[in-house]
Amino acid sequence: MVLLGPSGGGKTTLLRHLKRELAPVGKVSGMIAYKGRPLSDLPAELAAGEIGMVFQNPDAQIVMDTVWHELAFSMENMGYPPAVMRSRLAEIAGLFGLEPLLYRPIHELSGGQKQLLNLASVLLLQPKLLLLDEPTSQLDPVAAREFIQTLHRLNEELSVTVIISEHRLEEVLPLADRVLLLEEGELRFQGTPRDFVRQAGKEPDSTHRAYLPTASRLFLALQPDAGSAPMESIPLTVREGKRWLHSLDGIAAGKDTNAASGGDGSAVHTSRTLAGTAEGFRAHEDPASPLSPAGASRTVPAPSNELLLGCREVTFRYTKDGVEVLKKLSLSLYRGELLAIMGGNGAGKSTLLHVMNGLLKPQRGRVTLGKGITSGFLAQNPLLYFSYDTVQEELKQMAEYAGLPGERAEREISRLLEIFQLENLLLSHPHDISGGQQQKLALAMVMLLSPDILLLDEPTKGLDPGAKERLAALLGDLRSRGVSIVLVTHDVEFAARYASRCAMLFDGGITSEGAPAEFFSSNYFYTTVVNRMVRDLLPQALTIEDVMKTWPVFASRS
Amino acid sequence: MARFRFPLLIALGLFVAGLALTSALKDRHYMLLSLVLLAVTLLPLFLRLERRPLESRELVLLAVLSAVAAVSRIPFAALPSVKPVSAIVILSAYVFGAEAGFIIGAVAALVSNIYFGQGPWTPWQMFAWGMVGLTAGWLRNTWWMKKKGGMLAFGFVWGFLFGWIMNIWYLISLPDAFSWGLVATAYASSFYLDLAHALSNVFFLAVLAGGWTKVLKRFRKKYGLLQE
Amino acid sequence: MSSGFRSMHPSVAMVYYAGLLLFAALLFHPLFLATEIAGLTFLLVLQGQGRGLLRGLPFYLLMAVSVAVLNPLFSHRGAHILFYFMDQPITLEAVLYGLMMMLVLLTVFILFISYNYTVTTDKFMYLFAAAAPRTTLLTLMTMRFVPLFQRRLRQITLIQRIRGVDAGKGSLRSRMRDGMTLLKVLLTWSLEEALQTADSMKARGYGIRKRSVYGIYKLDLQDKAMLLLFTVSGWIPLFFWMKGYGVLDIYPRMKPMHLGWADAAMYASFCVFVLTPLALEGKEKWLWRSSRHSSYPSATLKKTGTRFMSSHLR
Repeated sequence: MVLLGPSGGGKTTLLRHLKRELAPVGKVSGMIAYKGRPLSDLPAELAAGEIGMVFQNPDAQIVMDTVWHELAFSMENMGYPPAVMRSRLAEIAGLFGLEPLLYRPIHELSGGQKQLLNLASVLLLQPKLLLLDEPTSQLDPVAAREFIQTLHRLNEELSVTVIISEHRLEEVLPLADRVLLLEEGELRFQGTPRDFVRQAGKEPDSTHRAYLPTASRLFLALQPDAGSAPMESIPLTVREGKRWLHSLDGIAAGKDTNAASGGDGSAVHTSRTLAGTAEGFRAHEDPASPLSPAGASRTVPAPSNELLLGCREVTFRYTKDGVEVLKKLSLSLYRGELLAIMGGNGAGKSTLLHVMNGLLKPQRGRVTLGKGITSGFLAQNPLLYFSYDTVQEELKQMAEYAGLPGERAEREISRLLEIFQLENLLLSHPHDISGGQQQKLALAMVMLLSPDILLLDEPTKGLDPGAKERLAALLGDLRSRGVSIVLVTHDVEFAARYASRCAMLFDGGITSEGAPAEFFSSNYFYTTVVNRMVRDLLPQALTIEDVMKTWPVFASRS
Repeated sequence: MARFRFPLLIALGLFVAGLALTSALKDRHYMLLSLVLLAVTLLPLFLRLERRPLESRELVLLAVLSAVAAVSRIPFAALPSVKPVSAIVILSAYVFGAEAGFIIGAVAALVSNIYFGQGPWTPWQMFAWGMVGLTAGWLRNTWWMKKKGGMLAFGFVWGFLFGWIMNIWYLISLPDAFSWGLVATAYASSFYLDLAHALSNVFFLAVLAGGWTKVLKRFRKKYGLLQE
Repeated sequence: MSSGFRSMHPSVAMVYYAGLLLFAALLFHPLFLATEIAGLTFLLVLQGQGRGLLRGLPFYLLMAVSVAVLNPLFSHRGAHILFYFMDQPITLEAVLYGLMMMLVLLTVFILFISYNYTVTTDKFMYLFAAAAPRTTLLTLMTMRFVPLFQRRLRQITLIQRIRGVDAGKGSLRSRMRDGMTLLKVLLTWSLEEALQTADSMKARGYGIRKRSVYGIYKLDLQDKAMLLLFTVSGWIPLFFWMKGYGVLDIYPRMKPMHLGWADAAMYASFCVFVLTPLALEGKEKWLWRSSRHSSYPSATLKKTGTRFMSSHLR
């Protein structure tokens, strides 16, 4: 079962109510029953053992110092005898492949491994029901996929009931039996994933569409009568989406060949049509500007040629005999750009940002800033920025440090507060506001330095679709004020939609870079879902908007 | 085996205590006795931790404060006797009380010595920092402790007391030479180190006091932790 | 990598070091102390810890020598006056006593170097878990937090530099102040996150009943045999000690050292106690060396070697 909905919609609260030990304090009415018994009447052991819960933050959940200790922790709590613990541990370690890690201290594990460990540790109590609160939001895509696959296996092979709240729906939704949409504490929808797609299709401008997998969204965008489409035809995955597109294309191609030669619509014909379409697509866009997806819909000025920051053959390592994280890396940044740097885990993306911001000094090579150009850096974790008791104090101190005289500081702060919608939080403690607000506050603090370059480390991590869009709007706004933005991200969709240039970091260097359309269409795997789906038909289309723009052309030609 | 564990432990403890006494009386060899006495003073406080009802939140809180105190010792490793640990223990005890202060001090000593090396000094450090916390907790409601000056003076005094306690295990190895002259020599030789500790305590407390108590109090209030 | 004595059950090692500490504190006799020092040093060298020993030695020697010097200066007991120093008699006995005390201190220091290597804190805690489960849990949690906090502190240090908080620059005063600001950020952040840790503990059933203890250590036959050996060979010297043997009386005048059969038996038993781990370590070393030469064809040496070793991992 998948729970979805915007942050603050009550997903966590609901999950916590299902886990008795963590039920939030407050007024409760109604009843929660587990196997026909009220949850509050269950014996403590049963409640703790049969209902397991995994949380969002992989690090914060771990209690003990080594892997085996952590695994044993839950069993020790239940007071199992050593023999039982030993056999269960062996079983789970085998299932999760944790054996080689067993004696490792926790801090040597990667985020994905930690989250798997958390899951394994809960499973040792052999729960019948697993509750997961955005378990993959802090993981990179590869680790997240692995985690979800493991969950799927548990569900299929051990028939564990899984209730998961997620923003990463591309992978989860196709696996779900049931989807629940929570908004403002209310259950807005309940049904199968395909039902959900159909429901969203009936209300063309509902915000719920953002939660659908890309294949379904494309389906809804191109199929005006989606609301009444037969259930099985609704695609959820890339494969299904591709099959559906090809069936559409088959019809189109059929028409085309019928009209032209009355032939049988063979494969040769089809491919010719497609090639034509692709050219048409390019021809359509090329003269206006270098092909940037959704570029027309934005008012951001085109990047100029003014060089703001250049890295020349930068080499960096953390310790004297450590590995070289960056190897002779060269990169330039121009005014008004939004450069998205992508790359696998541990490729050195964050290190690159640190080096670019001058927080770390490279051993070889140089980072040169244009004259009078300053840069601001926003780390993944906004909590790193806060050291005062209220939002106001944080901003004031920062303005002071930035050297803004009193009056200008006031003006600047209130301007930023307005942009970031933080006016009502002035007297709150920075740790008491929501994650999104913390991010905005940290960004506002960085903006007080009035940087010309903004360096962002994984700004979309853990954001719900709505928040991502708001962030994109914010970044667009900043760009229109002449700020260049560099962001490192795993979020291919985000980069494809909003970046003006993309670069791939691999093995310490930039291996490829270019405008999103060229960059992604040359990739086979590392590209957007839409592109993977339509690449045979429209190789340059990266987003649904791209497809929609060209599809009519495609359709009219056929 | 498990059933006999406690009687066995008690028997073992009594045996060692007996040995220690014999050794002290017969040979005037006090090393073992001092360790036994230390264990005896530490025991009831740890027993109290084992027995009292404790929420998981409170346990984690103790662990976090101990760990922060232990971590704070590491960057200052190069400067002898400049240890923010004492200041952190005092502030924690000031907010969360004597028992918590004792536990935080003792555990911080034990865990930080994983990085600095365990030795015969470990129990003494556990004792000394535990006592820092314990006394700070006991005195936290006095009028002078509530004033910044009082707390600073308290930190200053403990800077010396700490050094003096740590001198004991050294002095014990010289039972026959024990005289006020020796004590004076030992304490004079450690005077500058103790002074550094005392002054750094004052400094750390002066810097930390406002901010940290606010942070800690906020937590105590927000989550209703360790209220006595 | 643990092997030899280090791979034995923690209780064995604990008994060994507790015994050694006990002997160091009780057996006030140069022969016994020197044997203990020699045994421990040799064990450290066999375990490849000679470097650690050398690193710590200057500090330890300084401490120990200061005792040897201070004792005759302040203690004036004894029959043989060597000379006068600042109008105070310096006696031969006091000098000897000081030297003995130096030996005791050195023994204890070296003992702890060896202990630190063999009995890591988690082993110690495992032994403690039965008697003091909550203290153990608390200590283990703290041990987990320390590296985590160190990493966080590094991140915080890096990022706070953006807002001008830098513990590496400026006057000592401002550096210390900034250092404390960094710690405060760490504290606030970690306390917030700790609440999630507490939730996760509760979610996994902490506090609903008495905890049991899971250990990765198993008391095998060899461990039991060792425990037995330690107990027997440890009791004998203790027994003789209670009878008055094994202590060198220095004051008022040093008794001549003479070795009767009782002393010999006591010393032999003591040697068995002190040197057994050495024998174990040596045997393993020798086994490895000989097996490397003979039984494996060179082409597969590496592979079989590691596989074999992994089966030895505790």
